[in-house]
Amino acid sequence: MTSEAPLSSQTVDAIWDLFGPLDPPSVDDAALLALALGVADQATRLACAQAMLASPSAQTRYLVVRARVRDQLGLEPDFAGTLGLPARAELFVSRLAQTARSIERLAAEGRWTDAEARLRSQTSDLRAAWRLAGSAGLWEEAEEMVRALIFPMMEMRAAEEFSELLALGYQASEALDKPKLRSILLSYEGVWFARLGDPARARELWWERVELNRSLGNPVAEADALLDIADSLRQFGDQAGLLAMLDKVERAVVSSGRPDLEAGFWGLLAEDRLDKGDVATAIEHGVRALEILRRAENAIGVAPHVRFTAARAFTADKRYGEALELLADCLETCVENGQASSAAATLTELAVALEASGGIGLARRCLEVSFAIHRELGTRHVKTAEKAVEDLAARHPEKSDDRLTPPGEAWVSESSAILAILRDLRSAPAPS
Amino acid sequence: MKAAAGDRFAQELALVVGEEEATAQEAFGRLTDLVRPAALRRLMRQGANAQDAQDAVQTALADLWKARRSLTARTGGAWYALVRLAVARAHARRWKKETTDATLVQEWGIPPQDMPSLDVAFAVAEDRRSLSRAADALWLGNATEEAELGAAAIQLVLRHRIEIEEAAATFGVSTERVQRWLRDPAVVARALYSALCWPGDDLAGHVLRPEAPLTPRELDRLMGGGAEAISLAGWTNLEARVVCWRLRNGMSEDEIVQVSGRSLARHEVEAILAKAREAIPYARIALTMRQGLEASGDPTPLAKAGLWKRMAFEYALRELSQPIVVELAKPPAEVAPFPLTPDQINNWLSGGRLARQLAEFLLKEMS
Repeated sequence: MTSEAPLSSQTVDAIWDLFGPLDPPSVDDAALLALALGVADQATRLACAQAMLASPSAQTRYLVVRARVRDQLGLEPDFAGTLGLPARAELFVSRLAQTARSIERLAAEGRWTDAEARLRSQTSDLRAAWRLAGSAGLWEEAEEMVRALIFPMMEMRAAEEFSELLALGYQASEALDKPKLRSILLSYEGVWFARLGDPARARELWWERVELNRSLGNPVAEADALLDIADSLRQFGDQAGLLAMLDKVERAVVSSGRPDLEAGFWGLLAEDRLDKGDVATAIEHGVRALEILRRAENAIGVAPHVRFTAARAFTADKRYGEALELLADCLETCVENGQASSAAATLTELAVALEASGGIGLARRCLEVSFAIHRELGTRHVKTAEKAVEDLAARHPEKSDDRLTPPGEAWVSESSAILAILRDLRSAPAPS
Repeated sequence: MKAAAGDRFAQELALVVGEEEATAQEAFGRLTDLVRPAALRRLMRQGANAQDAQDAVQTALADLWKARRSLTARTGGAWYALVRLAVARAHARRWKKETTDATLVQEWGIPPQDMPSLDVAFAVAEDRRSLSRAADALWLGNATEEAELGAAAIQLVLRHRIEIEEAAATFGVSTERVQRWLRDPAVVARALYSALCWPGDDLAGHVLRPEAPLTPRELDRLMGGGAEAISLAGWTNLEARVVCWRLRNGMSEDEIVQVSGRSLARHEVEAILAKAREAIPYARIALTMRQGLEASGDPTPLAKAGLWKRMAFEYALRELSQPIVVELAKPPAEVAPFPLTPDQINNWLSGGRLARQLAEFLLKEMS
């Protein structure tokens, strides 16, 4: 080995083959953010240093993260005299928690498009902040962000973010000893699995919610969860399961003292009758549900569903005027609350009633907006929605030249335009 | 480092030639895991495609398993040399190449006097990061984790002009510590090396779009012809691919003419590469860092040979030809200033001098 004789070219090649090039170590933005905020542990600091030394792109990403932090915190360009690094972490999380609340407010005011745009533009910082809140044990801020963001993330079908928020929320509920937070999360997680087409898992979660609220002595949430389970059994055709629990659900909703839940129960019975083609009883249950709904003070959760069911029953009975009235109310609520998937279902049902009552052009527009929403959300109903548009065009070829281009993300404004036309129709004599 | 690597190899081999079939199989699996990547790289450097290389290596290892009772390799280097020969035979058989054992040994065989160097290379190849650390330690000086933290902090200070106080707080140390790092030649050399020798993907991404460097995925799209959505100011799609062929794949001008399907003449390729050279940021970074070092009182780390040898070794690992190494290293060396000439680079790389130097260093470390 001490000889100065050069190695043979074969040996040099063999050594190069054994050595080979190294892949640079990678590091994620959360680690870089922790570094920029001065809250990284030693292992994270070392991982960041190694990645930054191995690749300038990690340095560029670090500088971008650092600039974003400064922007969020409104820091001076110079380091000296500004807030120390560890205090920045807390400030960063609390600033982003404010952002989360403002998004929640926008959604609550019905400005769903603004809320969604803000959420999309801030997702990266919000994600960083909730991760930081979890790792730094800032559980109150974590809870605040989870409560504000979990519904919009679910509606946007942001699977990764939804899962992260869910896990963080469960951790926060443990750390803060807030079982009510856990109950809310079980409800959302159930809805998520139901939408993914896994009703068994959804019902497991809702049963867990039932047990939890029973032990907490919270009859309202218990009845709400039972209603979710019963509706899931109905939707997926488990008649025996549904029948076995109807008494229990009725007792629970009555003892909850909440008219909205009671209305939801009668709406569920109406749906069940409708599924079986028993239109007369469906109308009877639907009307009862609507009457109870009128007494309810806060029925945002169930009102569209109840109206929707009653409207379907009226449509089935060819009472299109009453159906359109209810569906318009239903659509209005969906627009106000940013419930895109419910709006799509309502628009489809509106199209049925409109087509039957001669409003072909408006029916077409409803179906196109519905299709656009399904496409945007990537739901499993996309193909059905598209086919509904095509089928309507095939049934009414004379109207096929005025096809509207679906608006993509602008479903709120399009739905509002449809509502305005429906209101005009309301003031005119009811269609025959 | 890997003091027990030789012993471990001998133990594994004893299991392979032993009577117990299941144990032998497991040991053989562990030994083949150690050499498979290098054998694949070897064949692919010879022009085989990925599938052919996989098949040839698989066949070679199956041959060796059949002959395991008569295996004579007693060291890791000898084991790898044997695998290389077996792979060459399997590859030749597969393509019915006319070749004799004599020519194979000539082309693929390792001279016995070189075996100690190959043994050392084999011993460290198992832990690839330790190889990189060893190269850092040999040519840049102390290569501890502390030095890595320091080098990253110093890059923030010298290259990105972040204040010492912030760099210190970022890495959880005192400002005095960062100031000490700034005076530590090994830490500064590590920072300089990292700033002046980027991975090929990073360099190509930066040259094509400095304001928002292209990611490896975008570069892949560009190379695959699906780059319509990537906006590049000042580069046509074909020019951008030429830049990638050079900086990602290390191709010569003639190879680029070939791979472009002769849609470009050599002088056109040369013009594109000249434009790319203008956009390589190393000289500018060297100047920024030299100014920072001058301000802190000692600009000499840029002028030390170890920094440039480490760079040459890295480029050789990436299989860049000497003209490309010169193209990348000379402009910052001029700023340093360091007298880096093509002859100097040739002197370091020819005959595996740097590889031997590293092997000797590792042998000393391991003893």
